[in-house]
Amino acid sequence: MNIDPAEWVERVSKLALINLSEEEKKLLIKDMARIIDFFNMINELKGLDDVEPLFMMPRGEPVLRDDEVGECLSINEVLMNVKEKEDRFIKGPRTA
Amino acid sequence: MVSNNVVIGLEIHTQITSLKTKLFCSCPSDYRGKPPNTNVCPTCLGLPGALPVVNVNAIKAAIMVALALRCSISDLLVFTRKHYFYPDLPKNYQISQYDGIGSMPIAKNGYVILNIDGNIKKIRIRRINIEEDPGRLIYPTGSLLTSKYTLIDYNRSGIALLEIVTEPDISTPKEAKVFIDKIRSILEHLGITDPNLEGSIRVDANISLAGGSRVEVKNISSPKDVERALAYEIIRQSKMLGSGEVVRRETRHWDSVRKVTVPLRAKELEEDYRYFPDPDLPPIKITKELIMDIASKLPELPDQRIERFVRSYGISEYLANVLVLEKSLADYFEECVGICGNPELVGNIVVNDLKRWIDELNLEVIEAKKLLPANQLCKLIQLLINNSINIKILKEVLPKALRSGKDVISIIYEEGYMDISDEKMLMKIVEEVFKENQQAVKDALDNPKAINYLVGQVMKKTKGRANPSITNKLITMKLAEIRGTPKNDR
Amino acid sequence: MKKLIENNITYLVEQFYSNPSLIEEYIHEVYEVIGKVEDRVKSYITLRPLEDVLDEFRKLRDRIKYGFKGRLLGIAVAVKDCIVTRGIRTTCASRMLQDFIPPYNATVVERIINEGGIIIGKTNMDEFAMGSTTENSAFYVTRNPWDLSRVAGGSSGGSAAAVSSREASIALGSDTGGSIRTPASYTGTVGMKPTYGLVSRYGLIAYANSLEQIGPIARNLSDLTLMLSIISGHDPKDSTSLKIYDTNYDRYLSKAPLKNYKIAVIKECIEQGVDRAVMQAFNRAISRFESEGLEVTEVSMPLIKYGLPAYYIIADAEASSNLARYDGIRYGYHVGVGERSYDDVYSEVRSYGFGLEVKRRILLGTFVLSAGYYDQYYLKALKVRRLLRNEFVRIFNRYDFIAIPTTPTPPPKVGEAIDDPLKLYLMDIYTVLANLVGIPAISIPADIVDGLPIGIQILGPELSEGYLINIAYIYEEISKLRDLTPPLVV
Repeated sequence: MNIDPAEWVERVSKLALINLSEEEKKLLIKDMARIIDFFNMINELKGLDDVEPLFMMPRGEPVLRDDEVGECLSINEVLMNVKEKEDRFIKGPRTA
Repeated sequence: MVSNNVVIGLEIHTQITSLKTKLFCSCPSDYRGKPPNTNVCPTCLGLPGALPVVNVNAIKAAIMVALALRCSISDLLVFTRKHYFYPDLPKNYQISQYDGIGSMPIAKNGYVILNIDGNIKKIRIRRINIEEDPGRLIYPTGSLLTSKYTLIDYNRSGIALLEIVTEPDISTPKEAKVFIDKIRSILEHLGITDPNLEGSIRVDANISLAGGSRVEVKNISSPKDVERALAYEIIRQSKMLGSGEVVRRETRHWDSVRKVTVPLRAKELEEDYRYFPDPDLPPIKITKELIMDIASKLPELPDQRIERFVRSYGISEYLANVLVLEKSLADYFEECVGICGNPELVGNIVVNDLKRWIDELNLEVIEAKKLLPANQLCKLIQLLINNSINIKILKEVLPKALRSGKDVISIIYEEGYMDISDEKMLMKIVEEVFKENQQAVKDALDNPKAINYLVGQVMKKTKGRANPSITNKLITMKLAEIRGTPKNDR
Repeated sequence: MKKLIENNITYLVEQFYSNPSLIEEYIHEVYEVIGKVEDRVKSYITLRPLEDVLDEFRKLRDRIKYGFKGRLLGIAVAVKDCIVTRGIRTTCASRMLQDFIPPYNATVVERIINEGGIIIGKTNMDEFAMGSTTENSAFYVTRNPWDLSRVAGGSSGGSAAAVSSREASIALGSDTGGSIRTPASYTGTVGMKPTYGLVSRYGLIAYANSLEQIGPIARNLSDLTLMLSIISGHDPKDSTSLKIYDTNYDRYLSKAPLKNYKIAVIKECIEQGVDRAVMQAFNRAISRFESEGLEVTEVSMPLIKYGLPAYYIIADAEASSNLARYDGIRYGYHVGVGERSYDDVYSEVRSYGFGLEVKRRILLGTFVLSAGYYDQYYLKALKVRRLLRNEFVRIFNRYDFIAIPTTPTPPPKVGEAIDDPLKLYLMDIYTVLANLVGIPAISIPADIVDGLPIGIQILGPELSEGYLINIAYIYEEISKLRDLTPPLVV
């Protein structure tokens, strides 16, 4: 499949909310095509249709939690890394 | 307005309020009324390094709902990450479920049967997802659409939600309301969700009209508002289509104050949630044994209860339906019948009078129960049955009891409500009325129907407090006396 | 006199029990070394002030009086800066988390503290563990104590350099695709990536959840075994944690093979692309094994070359999701929200907060998960992963271990590879395999060639940590390659 690196760098950087400087764009676009080629190596492998993808290591007994209340963080702990707050609220950007 | 070209599908988000803790951490699920950001831990705050662990009771609750909605249940529980940026979402992805390779919702392909004014309609359930609730946003300088910034409270973040998604089988706003009412009742009967808690059930509605695209209306919190929002959309969209405009695919927001839908800011990009199974949460086997065990312990569901009410109390299907719509109301009804019998009468009073006042006074049934316990209502009903009060008085006492929580007998005495059933006293008044209305007496002697006028006069003199049946009896006796025929006591 | 820091931990702890004041002496020693070498090596991002550490010593001394026992009593432990430590800045070597103070401890940190260990600092790494040389740190490069013009490897370069240069007795690293084993190989230390799920990831700031594990980096097998015994075992806070409770590996520190070991060497890993010095060290190690009477066989695994691209696809996909949460609102690099929209604010935060390699991996990961490419890249990579796992299972049916080089080259010069991401990725070609299939792997010094230590990697089936320790210990005994001292320290 042919992918235009410039085009998709534009698209995925919007999806991932990362603004790129012109300099970064140039660097990334240059290497992206090579890396995608490198990824494409796996497309040499044929006959994978019936192979189950392995998302994560199979586990035996599941780890579940009983419905029992534990401790919460104190308000100071919650807010200690927050830069903008109003009372106990964390200030966030506009959603509109 | 033609309604047969309307296609509606609903997504109902219901909190599993029966849980003690959140879905993936041990913070209390009872977040309401707590100071902001005091009900959080590293996991539900999305702190780097924190991990989710599933609350086992959330799985059980989801299976209960799946069984009640006649879904087929997945043999594997898989959680999937759904990615989008939003300030209420601490990880900027939501742990949810998805139907795709390696992912599946906990339940699929169910249905609910609705009875809409006697017509039976089947609404198919596409799927049920278990997912986490986001935090809560406050809009200090306006609304979601206008506030210049937001204030975030993550207390709600991580609360266990079930997302119930229908097929687009709904054709009218009314059907949508009936459907949601029924789901609410099912959830309440299962003991999964307390629908009276603010924000415990929230609905997104998808609606399209023939010739237009699908429009999603988000964030509707009551069944009545779902009906309103959909009715609003039908008018809005058919006007547009009527004038040749194009109805585009969009997401709108229900403004519950102004009772209108408003467009949300259009996204620059097509949504691309990049779902993939959450690698922090290995799939969990759901065994047949677990499902059977839960099925065997399933409480009585609304349909079964309606049937039982009709069968064993002999009340009408209509009455049973209305009672069971709210579990607490049905419970109250059964409690009363247990005390004072007379299911038909009790049912009618509960549905037609009590419920009306509960709504009018903006009460919840459980609050009303505290103000007017079942034994109190039964006292009133006893007085009614043995003619100590009439139905009119009962209806007047109800709101007073609901407003004050006072004992009904005291209300009756204090307000002078007790019927005048003292025959001597009433006879005196009857005699007065006969004297003052001689023409009417004559009429009554000829025409038995004219007796009502005399009864009315007695009522007028007693301000409605005369016991109607005794009054009737006395007037009939008096008339018989005038006719000179012998008394005919019964 | 031999310095205290030169002793193995078990011996030190025994000394400390009988004479707790030795701990103070030892701490001063460690800080003296740090004072001497840290400027050149740059192992630490955050070093705790000596006074704070001495405070901890005094508290420990009091607890010893009341009978406290711990297997790490008074031992200076360095922790990679992607593992959260309550109250101690945890940066992940990123501008994004430059001032992040976690309000909680990782499970492994709790376990170290419970054993009386003293965390003296947080070590340098590649930003968010993305890299193989620690050159991707947002702060500075960690240098190799054996040759300051060379890298210490990565991403746990700071941990390996600190241990190698005696700036700590032992360290924790994390290994997503070789991040413990590569720096261990480059610095003449031993490092183990445990079976997936043996060590809790709770508190490990996620790069690629399904691949990574925390593990020890030590100067000898005895220390490594002790630390592994302490940090391993089930953690109810990590859903991927295995329900393993017996984690004492001491008994595997045996000079005699506990089994009739059979070792497989994968032909494809030594055929081409391997540096002469690495081959020399590898062959030396193999002949040492053979001279001990162990059976070594060459096997073929043609699939191996697909491991690296599959690894990067999976790791980047998970990373793009894990790193979505960094938006500057709850923690981390922040820009004033003013009256700006969330995507505007988040984009600025993320553009400034992340370095180029992190951005690259987020973008690649976003790409392979996005609609239209998911099947072609992400799913396919997961299928390759399944095939590889099957292959490893097949080999482990006939052999106890697989031996391959840890890295294809000796440590590169600083700046030599950093400008070419693909060249850097190739450094991980032999280490990613264990992560892809979830098995344990250890890197131990194979030999010293041209004045640089070079590691050999031994892989075993799931939960074969004990036997891995045994064979590594046997090698340590015959080669005497333990407690290697870089020229810098002498």
